[in-house]
Formats: sequence, C-alpha cells, structure tokens
Amino acid sequence: MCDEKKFLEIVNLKKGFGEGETRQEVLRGMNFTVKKGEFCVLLGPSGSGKSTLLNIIGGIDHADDGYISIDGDKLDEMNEKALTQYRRKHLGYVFQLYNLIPNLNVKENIEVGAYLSDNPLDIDDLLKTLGLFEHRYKLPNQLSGGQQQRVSIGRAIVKNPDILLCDEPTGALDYNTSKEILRLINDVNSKYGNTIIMVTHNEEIKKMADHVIKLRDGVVRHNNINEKRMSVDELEW
Amino acid sequence: MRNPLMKRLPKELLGDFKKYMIMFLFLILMIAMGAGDLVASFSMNKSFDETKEKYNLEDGNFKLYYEASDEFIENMNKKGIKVYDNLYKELDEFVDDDEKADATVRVFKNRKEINKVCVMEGRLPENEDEISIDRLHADYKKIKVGDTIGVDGKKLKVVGFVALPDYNCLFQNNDEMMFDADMFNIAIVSDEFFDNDKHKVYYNYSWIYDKMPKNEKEEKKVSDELLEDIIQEAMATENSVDGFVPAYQNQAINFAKDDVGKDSVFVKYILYVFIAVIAFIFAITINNTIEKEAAVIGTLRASGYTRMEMLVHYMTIPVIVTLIGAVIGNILGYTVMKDAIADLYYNSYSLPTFETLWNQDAFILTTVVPVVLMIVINLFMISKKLRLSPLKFLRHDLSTTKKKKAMRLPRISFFGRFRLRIILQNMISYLILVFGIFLAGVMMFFCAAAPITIDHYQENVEEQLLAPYQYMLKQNVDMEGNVITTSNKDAKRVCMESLITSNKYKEEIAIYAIDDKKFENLKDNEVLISTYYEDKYDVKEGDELKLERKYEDGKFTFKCSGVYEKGTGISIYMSEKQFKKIFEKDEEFFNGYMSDSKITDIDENYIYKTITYDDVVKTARQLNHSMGNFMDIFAGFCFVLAMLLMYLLTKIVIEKNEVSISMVKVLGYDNGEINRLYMLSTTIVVVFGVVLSMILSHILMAVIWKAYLLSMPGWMPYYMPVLNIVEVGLVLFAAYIVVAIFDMRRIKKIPLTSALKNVE
Repeated sequence: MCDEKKFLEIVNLKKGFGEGETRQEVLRGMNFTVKKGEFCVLLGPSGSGKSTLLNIIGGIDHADDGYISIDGDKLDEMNEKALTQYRRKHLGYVFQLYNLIPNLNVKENIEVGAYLSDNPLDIDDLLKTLGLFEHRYKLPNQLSGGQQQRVSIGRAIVKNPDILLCDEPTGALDYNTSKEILRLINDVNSKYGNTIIMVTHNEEIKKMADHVIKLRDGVVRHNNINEKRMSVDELEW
Repeated sequence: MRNPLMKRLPKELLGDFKKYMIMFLFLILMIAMGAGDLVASFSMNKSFDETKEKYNLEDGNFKLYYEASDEFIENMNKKGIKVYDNLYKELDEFVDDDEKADATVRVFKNRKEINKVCVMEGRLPENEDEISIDRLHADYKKIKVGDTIGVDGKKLKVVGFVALPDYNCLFQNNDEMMFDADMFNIAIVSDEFFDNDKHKVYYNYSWIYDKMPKNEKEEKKVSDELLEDIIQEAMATENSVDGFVPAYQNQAINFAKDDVGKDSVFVKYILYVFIAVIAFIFAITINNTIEKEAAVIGTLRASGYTRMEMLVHYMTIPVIVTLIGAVIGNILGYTVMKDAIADLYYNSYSLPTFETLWNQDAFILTTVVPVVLMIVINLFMISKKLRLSPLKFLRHDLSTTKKKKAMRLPRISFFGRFRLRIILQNMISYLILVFGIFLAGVMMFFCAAAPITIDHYQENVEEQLLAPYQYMLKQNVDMEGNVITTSNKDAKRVCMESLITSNKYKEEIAIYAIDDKKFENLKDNEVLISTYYEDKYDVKEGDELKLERKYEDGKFTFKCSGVYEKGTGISIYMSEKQFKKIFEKDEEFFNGYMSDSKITDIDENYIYKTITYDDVVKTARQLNHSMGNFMDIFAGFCFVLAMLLMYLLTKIVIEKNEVSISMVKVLGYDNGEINRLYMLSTTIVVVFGVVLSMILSHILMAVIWKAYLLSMPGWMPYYMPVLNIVEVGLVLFAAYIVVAIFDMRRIKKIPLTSALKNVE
C-alpha cells in the first residue's frame, strides 16, 4: 500500500492517435497525483485530452508511455483479464449518456452494478439516497433525463467503488437537473468516501471540487487544491 | 446473487415475440419431423433385421423353365444351400364387375418353412374359394376382409390381409424400375385352389445358405458360384435357368429398407441445414442487438463485466429456444410424427407390423446436435464482435476489420446508389436470405418437377412403343415341333434378345430386329439406340456399347450409329439380317410377336414375357400414387417456410435501418420514396434469389434425377418446361409479396423520433 497522498499517481503519461502524418499527440506527458477520497475535476476545452485521460485511468484505453498507479498497482502491468477485474472491483463509471439497459427497471439496472461486487451497498437504501425509491419499478423510458442519470450513478456506486469516474455527467442535462446531479455526486463523495474524478468543460463546477486539474494541449496547465469547496447551490453558470 | 442481466431474457423474448415464436415453431416442426423419421426408420430397420429369423426369409431365389427334378434338388442341397419350393402362378384379378382385369395376382400356397406369411388382419385361406391378399394392394383397391374378388373366372372370398417378407415391395420382376402395388398383387391361396387351377406354374425356388456369408462381398462371390452350379445342374437335368436373384439384389426385399435408409439420411441433413439457417438468423439478430446496444455494452464492460459474461448473456436465448424446441419437437416426433411417417411408408410398402423402439441415437441427433450447431454458429458469429474493446463499444466503432474507404459506386441515379449501399450494408442478411430462398426454392421445384416429369413420361411413352402388345416367346415351336402362330392379323413376327450392360449397373438391354429402312445401311455391329439409352448413359454416335449375356457366356460389342426415335426403354435396334448373323440364328428364326391387339391364342406356357402400355407406365403410376398428396402438402410447407425466412430476414434489415429510415422521414421523404429505397432493395435481392434458385434447382434436379435413376433399371427422362419453371418462381415470389405487405406497414410505423433519440 502506498502513501495515501498518492492514491492515484499519473507519471509522464503520453498517448497519441493515428500514424505518420496524421498522428496526433493527445497526452504529452501528464503528471499529477490524487488523494484517496478526493473530489477531483479535470477541466479543459474540447480536444485537451481529458476524456482520453479518464479512459486510461479507467483501464479501457492504454497509454503509449508513462504509467498510472492506483494504490500501488500499475495499470500498464495488468493484462486484459486483470484490467477487467480492476474495473469490476475498484471502479464505477458514469457517462454523459446514461446507457441504461432499456428493458430493465430502475432497481434492476442498479442490480446490474451490484452483481459485480462482493459487498455491494444496500440497494433500497441507495435508491432512497438517490431519490428514486418510488420510481424503482419504472423503465428508463419512463424517467426524465435527470432521473436516468441518477440511476446511472446508482449503478456505478452500488458496488462501493474506490474510484468513481464521471465523464461529463451533466453534459446532456438542463441547468436545474445538472445541479441535482452534482449535488448527488457531492453527497456520494461525502457519504461513501469514494475518490471522484469528474471530467467537465464547465469552469464553474471546479469550485465544488477538492482538486482541480486544468488540461490544455495534452499537458497539465494548472494543478490546484481548493482550500474551500463551494456548495452546489452556490454555483452559477 | 443471480446475474441481473438474465432478467432481460424473458423481456427480450416478449418484446420480439412474433420473431422468436416463428423461429421456435420452425425448430419444433423440423425437429419433430427429424425425430419422427429417425424413430420410425430405426424401428422399421429393426423389424427388417428381425424378418430373417422371424419369417425365415430366403437368401435368394431362382426360376427354371421346367419343374426341378428330385435329382436337381438333391444335388443343389449338397452345394451349401437348402432349396425350397416357392412356386407361383400369375392370374388375372377382377375387383369390379366388368370384364377388364384390374390387376395381376401372383398366388402362392401357404409357406410353412421359408418366407413365412405375416397375417396383418383376418386369417389364411382354408378352403378353395378363399384368398388372403396383400394389405397394401387391398388398400389401393379398397378391398375389405369379407369382400369377394374374381381370380381368373372364380369368385374368391378375401379372408385376410398378409405381408410376405420376400415382397416388402410389390415388384413383379426384379428388373423393373418401380413396383406397382395397384396393378400387381400377391396372395396366398389354398393348396386345392393352386393345384386345381390350370394356368402355368412358374418354377420358382428359394434357397437358404447352410452358412450365411459374412458380408455382402462374400455373399456376391458365393452367389456367383451358386449361379454357375445351378446353370450346370439345370443343363444336366435338361432344364434352363430363367431367373436368379440373390437376396441382396432382390428389390422386392431391399427396396423398402434402402428407401427408408436414404430418407433418413436426407431428413437428417435437411434438418441440420435448416437448423444452421435458423442459427444464422439468430446470430444476425444478436449482432444487430449488439450494435444497437453498443453503448450499454461498453458501459457494462467498462464497469467490469467480462467478455464471457456478455457472450453467455447473448447466447442464452438461442440456446434455450433451441433446447425447448428440441424437447417439444422430440415429444411430437415420438408421438404424432412417427405415426405419420410410418403411415407414409405403409402407404407404399407391404411392411409387417413394427414396434416403436425408443432410440437414444435419435434423441442425440435431434437434440444435442441442433443445440451444438446453434452454439457453434452463434459463438463464431458473435464472439468476434464481443472481442472489441469497451472503448470501441462506447464510441459505436464496431468494425472488426481495418477501416476501408467506402466502395465507389457506378454513376447511376442517386436512388440507385442509395439502394446499392443498403444492399452492401446488409450483405450478410441478404446472403442468408438468398440461401434461404434457394433452399425453399429447390424443394418447391422438386415438388413441381417430379409429377410433371412423371406425367410427361406417361403421356408420351405410348407413342414410343414399337407395338401396343409385345410378346417374347421361350421358343418359336411348340412341343409337337409346330411353329407357334397367331390368328391376329396385325401381329408381326419379330426377333428379340436380352443382354445386360458390361458396366457396374448390369442393366438389361432389349435388342430388337426391326423391319425398317433406317437399318438398311447399318453394317456389321452398327446399331441404333433408343432415346432413353442415349439419355441415361450419355451415348454418342460412334461410342462402343459393351453388352453380355446375363446367365451364359457371351460378350458383344456394338457401335452406336444414331438414335431410333420410335422406341422405348433401354433398347438397341438393328436389321433382321444383322440380328441373325450376330446371334447365329437361322433364316427362319423369330422369337416374338408384336401386335396392335392382344394375342389370346398362344399358350402362355410358351410366352416368356409380355410388354404392354400398362407395363411401361406402371412406374409412373406407382410414383404418382406414392407421392399422392404428399407433394402438394410439401410444396405448401416450402411456401410457408420461404415466407417465414423472408419475414425474419427482411424484419432484421428494417430494424437495422430504423434510424436511417426515421431520419429520411424527418428530412421529408414520403412513404412511397422510402419504399422505393428500402423495399425495392430487398425486392431486388429476392428477385435475384428466386431466379438463381430456379436456375440452380433446374440444373440440380437434372443431375440428381439422373444420378438417382442411374442405379435403377429403366429410365424416365427429366422434364420441366420453362413455363413451369417460371410458374414455380412466381409462386416463390408470391411468398415475398405477402411478406412485403407486412414490411411496408412496419416501415410506415417507424416514428420520426427514432432518429432523434440516443444521438451523441
């Protein structure tokens, strides 16, 4: 087990796409660390490499150079089977588009996540936390966008992952619903102590995080720790 | 915790209920037929195998011109066999009250030692005015136990129905192409009737080996040696061999068993082909689902679901549907279908009763094999896609091969290019559609072509007969040395001979000496052949024809100089002069009569063989009867099958293109234009499939028909006019028209909002 300060360590990470003349270097040597339980926001404009970075942290993409270590384990030393186990046991994923299973109801969609864990959270409790208990037997097409995203968050956190990766979770939602979701993510972080890494292009959201990493042109431009986190209600954009 | 993904499965099944139900019913039907056939044929084969012991079935029979002497029998019994009398007479049978004979009945005394009788209903005759007839023939003629029939001028009461183990199939002669259970009967009569009847006796004897040869090869060797012994003994006792049929060559014994065996093989393979088609349809459906759910799969894989868990999830429905279908299919097969299939055989053959035997192999073949096929095909088709990384799924980047540039299309109209793209994008579905159309088309084609070929033969064969009545004599002088004559003014004396081909088929060839100018220029061994001979053996002008005597030494080589249009059967023709020279006969020789009217004034004891129109069409008649309504029912089944396959596959294509169809609606295309894009693409593929199916079916049918008949005596040329081919094609296309109506309704129902959902 490594230093708590270096729960997630990214060292000289490089990643490019394409070959020859069309090759694009998306990550040009990323270096930063994230503490356990931290709420970390990855900010940056479109094409800055934030989603690519998130995918590599999530073990669904590979870096060309450098490494990522999580709690002392290096991802580049893991084969595909090991990476799958890593994601199964330690990671939760929330995407911009909820990607729920259309013919399973709310409770069943969360069970899909619970099945992966040896020690999942209590589903009914979680449903209450998510504000979805009364909607638990509804199908996704009977829910609003915000409710669907709540289900998607529930699916991700039910297995009580060490790390929750959120890729633009409010990207498809309106202002009020976005705030709802951010409030929820905040609550999850407070209640369950997961390390949260959220990708967003919304500058305002950084104020609610512990740790803000700004990316531009494939490198870390700013790596700041917020002394005080703003509440979601105080955010305005 | 149970995998929650499994909760999707019942919802999936209900969500696409029609599609899954069709595939399910399809599987049940195919497996029921397969199981029923395998159980029926296994049970029947067991019954065939038991016949030898149960009824003491002969190992062969031979016919002599005259009654065998005691010396002959005694000497033959020293040759490793035991000889039994199996004499018979052939009499006219009258079922109706008119003067026209309705059939020929071969009567036997009751067999007590060999070829024992199986009584199916009633009893054996005890009195001179009683008769027990073949069960199948009674069916054909609608004779019941208790009815009276006329046998050669006498009224006999039918007291029972029988099946004789040496007449599973009612072949009158072993060299016939087909049996004729309608016009030929076998019966048991009392000893008094047999002895008192004045008609000629056929001196037929059956034998049993003292020690059974180990296999068919040894049996052939032993029987060849036995034939030589019989010929020598016959000559030594002033007799001649008139026929020799070892059991392994006897069609009356083996035809039914061979047919059952061939049908089993055919049914098995057809079953597997259709299961494979269903498996491919499942695989395409699942691949489409995977494409639709790509983002969900990516999320699940990113969350930690393994590839194996996803594979098992998507394979579960096809395997469960197949397994349940197989179980139900087997139950139906063992109960309903087994009887239906047995009835089909009982409708064609004089089979003894058989007991249904539960067959483990049939269960494995109709349950394990289909499930394995389903797993293997789906595994192959689906696992490739699931090998993609979670990231590719999340990005909807599902190509498994390196991205190629879009295929450049010819400079045709925009709609034409759009349609081409639709065809190219759905190539796998369309290929399976074409294959399915081909399969259904071949079977429908067969259902149409077989009766057409048979009817055409029946309609045309009479014209080709040399004469309505042909009589081949055993000798041309009677016992007193007088030349055998007839008072029929239209009768002509002819020279006829019978040889066999020297190839592996050993087919009997009739040789005719014809008084026709066409033969005047033929030299030495030049001959003309019948069109059937030409057709069957692909004989061309200049080819050598090697023939030999069946029972004696004598080989002949002829040269084909052309075809004699007026002639039927497998025959060759030459001038009288040539005939007498080749066969070393004197100037006065003749051994037959051809007549326009029936000859009644020649003692039948001098007649070796009679050929009439009835004899040459009996094959056609029997085939028509055996097929009966079966062809129409089977054609109907193929029509439904084609329709179901088209329905399933066109549905998949439309589903796959749902977003695109919705988008073009959003853009402003009306239903007619959308149909011209999507429906017409499918229609083009269907038309292509139908045309290809008809062409290939025609070629395949000609090849299969020839291959099938090559090993049988006689010939019936394959005939299927272009108009009939077009008809079959149109019927097949009509199946698509029905499906297209449903497809157009489906396209109309696609909402415009589909294009706007889940767009990243």
